[in-house]
Amino acid sequence: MKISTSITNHGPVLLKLVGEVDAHTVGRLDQTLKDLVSQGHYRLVLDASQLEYIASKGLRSLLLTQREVSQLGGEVRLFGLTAPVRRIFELAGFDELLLICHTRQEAMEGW
Amino acid sequence: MPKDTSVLTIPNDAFYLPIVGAYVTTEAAQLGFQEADIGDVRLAVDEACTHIIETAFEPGEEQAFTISCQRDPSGLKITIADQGLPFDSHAIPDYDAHGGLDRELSGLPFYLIQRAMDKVRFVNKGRQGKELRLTKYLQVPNIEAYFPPEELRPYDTAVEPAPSAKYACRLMEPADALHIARCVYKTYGYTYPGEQVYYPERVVSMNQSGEMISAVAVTETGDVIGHCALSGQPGEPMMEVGQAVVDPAHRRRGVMKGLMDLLMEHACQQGLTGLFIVAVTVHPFSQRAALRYGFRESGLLLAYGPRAVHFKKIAGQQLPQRETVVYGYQPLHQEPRSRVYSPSQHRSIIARIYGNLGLEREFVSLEPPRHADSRPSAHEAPPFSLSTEIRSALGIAVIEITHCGPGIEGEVKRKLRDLCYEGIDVVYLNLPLGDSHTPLICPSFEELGFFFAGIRPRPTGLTGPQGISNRDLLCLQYLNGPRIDYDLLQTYSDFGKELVQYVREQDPLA
Repeated sequence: MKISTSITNHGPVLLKLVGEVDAHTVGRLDQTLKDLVSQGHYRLVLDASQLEYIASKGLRSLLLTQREVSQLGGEVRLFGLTAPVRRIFELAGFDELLLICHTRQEAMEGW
Repeated sequence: MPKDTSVLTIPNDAFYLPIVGAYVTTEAAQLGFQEADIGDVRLAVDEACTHIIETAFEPGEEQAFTISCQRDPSGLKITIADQGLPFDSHAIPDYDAHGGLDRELSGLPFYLIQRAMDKVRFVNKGRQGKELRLTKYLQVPNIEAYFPPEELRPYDTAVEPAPSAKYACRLMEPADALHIARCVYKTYGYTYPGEQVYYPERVVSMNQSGEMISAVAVTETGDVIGHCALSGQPGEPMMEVGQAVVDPAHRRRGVMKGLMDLLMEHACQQGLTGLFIVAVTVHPFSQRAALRYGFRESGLLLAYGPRAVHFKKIAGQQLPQRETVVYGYQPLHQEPRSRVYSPSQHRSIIARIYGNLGLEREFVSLEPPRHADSRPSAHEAPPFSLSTEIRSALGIAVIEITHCGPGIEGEVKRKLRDLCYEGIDVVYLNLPLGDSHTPLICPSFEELGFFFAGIRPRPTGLTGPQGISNRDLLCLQYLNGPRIDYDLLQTYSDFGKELVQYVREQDPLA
């Protein structure tokens, strides 16, 4: 799995996830999110357009981050979910927990 | 290895999870699953394998485990087997998919497995490890997709008998499946337990795989007006008789007898050694028919079916309580005498059941241990082995002990607690009567609230571990909530009444 990060001065941080998040690769996601939060970045947007799969460990990583940043005035948002990944979010009830946007623009604006 | 089965063995290392994912994804795609179902299969298997890798072995222990895929026309069966620690379900809390941000997540993996697959079964084999068996059915249209509503209305309650006709009984052909599904639907609505019968393509595939053997009765014009089937696992020596329906306009003309005669003959030709049947107690007619065809009562399974079973033209539409059934058995061959180890408190009724069935059994008495440590120690005795099957559609679960061993009482207690917590209405517990430990452990289960249900005979001559040649089961039952009004149970025979009376006396809530 690959993660690329774009940090701008005033906007949210954009993370692009490419590949799969499972028990083997989730550590990288965990560390990336942890580092961003510790650096004071609480507005996080995940581009999931090339995310092929996410396991419960990946969902857990997102939820724990959302818990933390929401207390600091921030939020985790996603956009570009493919049908298979969206289904996993819906099965787990995570579509009720995290804001899933239709477009990148919607996710990046309105903070 | 059969051609329809493949096996992948991997080390207990998360590195291999994508390989497992590719394996099961390809299997599912080859079978023709839709994208969403392929994703479900991958998710369930990935979560299960992750759990094994993380919890089944000691830290640093290098082991391997297997994932096998068996495909058949109805779908895909996946078995994940490891020889690690037993699955401790009571340590996993529930997962609330509608909880807030502070929801507990430790139950999420198993929640996803349950939601993604159509059937999930855990089999704990003690020191021999465990298996997680997952089933995903191919999505096929149900009967409502084939007929307009007016052709699926329930059979007319005041129907005139059809003009006299000749009927032919034969084994099902694929084109009959639509009409079978419609017959069942017009008789039961959507309430018949065993939903597969409402999907014509599954009826075809199950007949092709041998899980079902359907017989139909047709008129001279080729109309399907009756059905009955044997169902079970291919290769097993026993099958269940059921799904018996006859168009009301053609009843009382020997149609069901013709179907039964055909199926009995086919069962003998296939080498089956026994047949069983469950007959409802909301009315006595099914029991009467079962007796007529040679079945004899051996058990009373309380609250077996949901309340919503309707019988068109026979009884009232809404049942006042969950449906209780009589379990009936019929051997197809003369069975040799075999030994059973009966709990002394039930010996008399068990002997009467065997007499009712016409089965010869030798009762072996065991002296109870005088001291707690006179039983074999954990090091001397072989490990226990049991399986648990949850039938969500019926709201029941069945725990079957294959072999008694140290710790079995605690394991059953934990499983009972978990099942009750999940809202299962009835838990049946099957104990091997050919196992000398059964009389010793039965009281422990009765102290938990289990009580007598009956006997499930199984063909003798099969050898299990340690050369046990009798495989009959003593059935106990536990009611998690439902209370039975025994006065509403209708039985046909005197022995049926005797069985009801005995079970009632054993029921701690009666």
